[in-house]
Amino acid sequence: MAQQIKIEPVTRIEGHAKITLTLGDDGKVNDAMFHVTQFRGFEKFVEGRPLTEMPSITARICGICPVSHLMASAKACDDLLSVEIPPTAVKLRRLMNLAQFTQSHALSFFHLSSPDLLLGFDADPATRNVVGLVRKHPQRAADGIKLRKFGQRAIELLGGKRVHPAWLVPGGVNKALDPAAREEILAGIPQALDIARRTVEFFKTIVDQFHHEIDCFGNFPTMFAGLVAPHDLWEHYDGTFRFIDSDGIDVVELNEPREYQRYIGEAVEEFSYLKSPYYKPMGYPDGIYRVGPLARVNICKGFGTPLADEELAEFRQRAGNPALSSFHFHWARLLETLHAVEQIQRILEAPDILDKQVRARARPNRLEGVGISEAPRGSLIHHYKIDEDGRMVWANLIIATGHNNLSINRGVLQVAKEYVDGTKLKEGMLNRVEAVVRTYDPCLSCSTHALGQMAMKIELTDREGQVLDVLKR
Amino acid sequence: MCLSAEQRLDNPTLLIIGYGNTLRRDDGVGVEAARWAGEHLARPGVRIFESHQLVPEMAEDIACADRVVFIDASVAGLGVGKGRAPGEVVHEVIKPADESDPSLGHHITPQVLLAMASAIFGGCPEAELFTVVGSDFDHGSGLSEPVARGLSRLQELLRAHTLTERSCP
Amino acid sequence: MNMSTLATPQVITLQIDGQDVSARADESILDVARENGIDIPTMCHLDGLDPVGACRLCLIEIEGTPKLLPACMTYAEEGMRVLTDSPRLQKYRRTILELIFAERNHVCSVCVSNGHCELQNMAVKLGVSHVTVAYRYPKMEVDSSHDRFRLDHNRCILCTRCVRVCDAVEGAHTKDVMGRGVLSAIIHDLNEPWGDSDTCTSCGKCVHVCPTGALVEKGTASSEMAKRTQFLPYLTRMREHHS
Repeated sequence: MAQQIKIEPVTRIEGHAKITLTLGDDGKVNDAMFHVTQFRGFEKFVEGRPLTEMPSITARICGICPVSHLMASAKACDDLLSVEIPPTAVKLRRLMNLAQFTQSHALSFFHLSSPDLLLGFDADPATRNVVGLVRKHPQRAADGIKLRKFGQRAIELLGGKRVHPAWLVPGGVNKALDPAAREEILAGIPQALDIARRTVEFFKTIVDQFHHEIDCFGNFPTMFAGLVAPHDLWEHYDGTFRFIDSDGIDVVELNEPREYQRYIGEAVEEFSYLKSPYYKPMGYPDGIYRVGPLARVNICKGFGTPLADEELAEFRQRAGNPALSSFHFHWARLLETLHAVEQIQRILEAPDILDKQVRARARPNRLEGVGISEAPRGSLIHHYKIDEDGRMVWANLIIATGHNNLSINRGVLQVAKEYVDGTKLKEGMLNRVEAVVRTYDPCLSCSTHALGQMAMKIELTDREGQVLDVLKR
Repeated sequence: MCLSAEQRLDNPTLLIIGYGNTLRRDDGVGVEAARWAGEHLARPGVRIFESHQLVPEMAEDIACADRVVFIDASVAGLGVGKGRAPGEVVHEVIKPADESDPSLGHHITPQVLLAMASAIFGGCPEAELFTVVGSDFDHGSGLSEPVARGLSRLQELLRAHTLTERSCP
Repeated sequence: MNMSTLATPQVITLQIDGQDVSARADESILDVARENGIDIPTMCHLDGLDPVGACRLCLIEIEGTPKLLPACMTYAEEGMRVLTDSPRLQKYRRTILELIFAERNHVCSVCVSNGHCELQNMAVKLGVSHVTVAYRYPKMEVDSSHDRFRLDHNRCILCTRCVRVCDAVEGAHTKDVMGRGVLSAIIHDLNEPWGDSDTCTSCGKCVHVCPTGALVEKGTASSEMAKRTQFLPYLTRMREHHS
């Protein structure tokens, strides 16, 4: 008889989700579904609003990564205005995005994933958490807090506000950089750089312990997609959107963001509110691809900053080129953090960084615009259509976690097959199923969730939905 | 940056952290209380944070304070709100957590923050938690009638509480 | 205008909030109160425009009269005893503001006037932290047809400052109000898109007297639309002197 194991909610990811494992007659997992159970409807209710409001409206999609939506939205609006924004504004936007990478990656690694990585997947769940972590590794936890604070503070200094800064506007940013803010961010660089360096060093000493997880945490060939800069350098804000195959060979590169629909299709599955984008020429679901830290690192040839490039060389050697296991999202995240801090310093030292010319003014000059930027979790696409008066008539948003949807599902299935045995529900196995989801650091956008006090619940049900067994933590 | 022990003796610091989601009605009572405190209780040595949730970087500020007052909301019938009516204000003295529930995810409790403050930054302030029991956690802003009354009671408690001079070791 | 031909206005005395004040008979209670440092909240009133009593925020109590009267439209009379801030008035004012907020879609957080909005400031001033009546969530149009300006009906409170400044100061009378009750709306000419109006001079006065984010300059992003209303009293005074 087919049975289902449900894990709900998946903990230590941003937002809420549920996993259903379907067991075959032999008690082995034969299917896995990653459900996203939130529906937000932003694409619908922006209709009729002036395009200039789009950055601040879409920033409300998420209280965790509002900066990312601001970036993609501002870029889509730039496209509608058909403007080239002032070079200093480009630098300032990049600065904020890199600060966002730093704080988001710090949270993902130190607070969400470290309990598993530093205390072990099979450690007692009573101690495999943040409290257990700070007791056993206070220095690492302190590093996480300081690094996150560095990024958060930089965002606050740039935008004047930490959570929903209205600083990014169509055509650039609305305020030049304050020299005092520049000094304060620069002053934090040495410590942030130290932390980023020693964290990568440390991770390299423990990564080999996880060879079993590396083998089955979403370890399969897929394409990778993301932005890449000229000379094949790592990119997060501009550049061109590229797909590579699992051998690292370039498949296609978009001439401009507006072409994305030629290559990306969006499938809708009944079990989830999250759409499943796929690479169109390959069809659904064969057109599976991954985005995010692992994809960006696989796509580029180098970071263009010395410390990160040195680490990247070692990563390629040890994790493969391209690295195929989703477990390596963790390592890639640390490389990106190191680069982000190096690059923040470089941008702040640019001679024109304090220029007052930071905004291009124009009216809408096209009726359709697309903006692609990289959120910490992966590529973010905002696609808008407006009427001749500049009012929104249609919007489509493809979020990072969406691109990874197919891969997350397949990763869950792979882990479940390896670790879940239908006759036994062991904590360590189920935690690994969740942990594979966590490697993608998915953001399911839960900024409006109420009280987070939900216990982990596992249901074992038969085909008719009859509950056979329930486990609670 | 923490003050030196001497400076702290002269000027014991109090940190008030009110948190919750003001777009989920009664969940926002902590933030409302912090805003009120900002207007009525601000004086040298008192720091007031309002936030949609507790975040790890608060641990450092907590470690630097002599006393910390957390203000939260709770669903009637659950946790602290068990057996209590909406609008009731619950006061507890709290200690650093020995363990945290792994299922809480990115939701951090005051006790976990205290544990972080003590383990990472070596600061263990006296800490208390005021919880207002709420009934309406639906989308929207504004407090339900009983919680609005609870907020007034909480304000009186906070005023009385924060005025109490405490000697510092 | 020759000032010497005007009769000397009659001076009267009355009491506002227990304070004895003197006034000219052609002064409204609002003017008298403000001259004497007594603040009465208003939304539709604007110095330099004729009062209309549309918003009802300036309601006052007058001893011996059961009705509440708008201070901007009520003239001072000898021996009047006026209350401007009774608990009853405070309650009415808060309710009026709540009804304004509930009537249309005032979404402050993404509004271009966030932080510069008279409605928002008034809510803070009167302690309206939440709305207890049900929101209507009407589906309202945004008129973006004008080259430089935009009218967002979602944010309009029908104070008619724009209608009055357009008529009395600019002399164009492009704007007016159409419909009744909740269906009332600001229109241009014979209910045409603003951009098609033949009478609009694109002077922008309506934008700057608008208390909310209903009338704004195009191209402004969230929180960027600060209004400048200082021009109006000067303009009015200069015209009086020169005519």
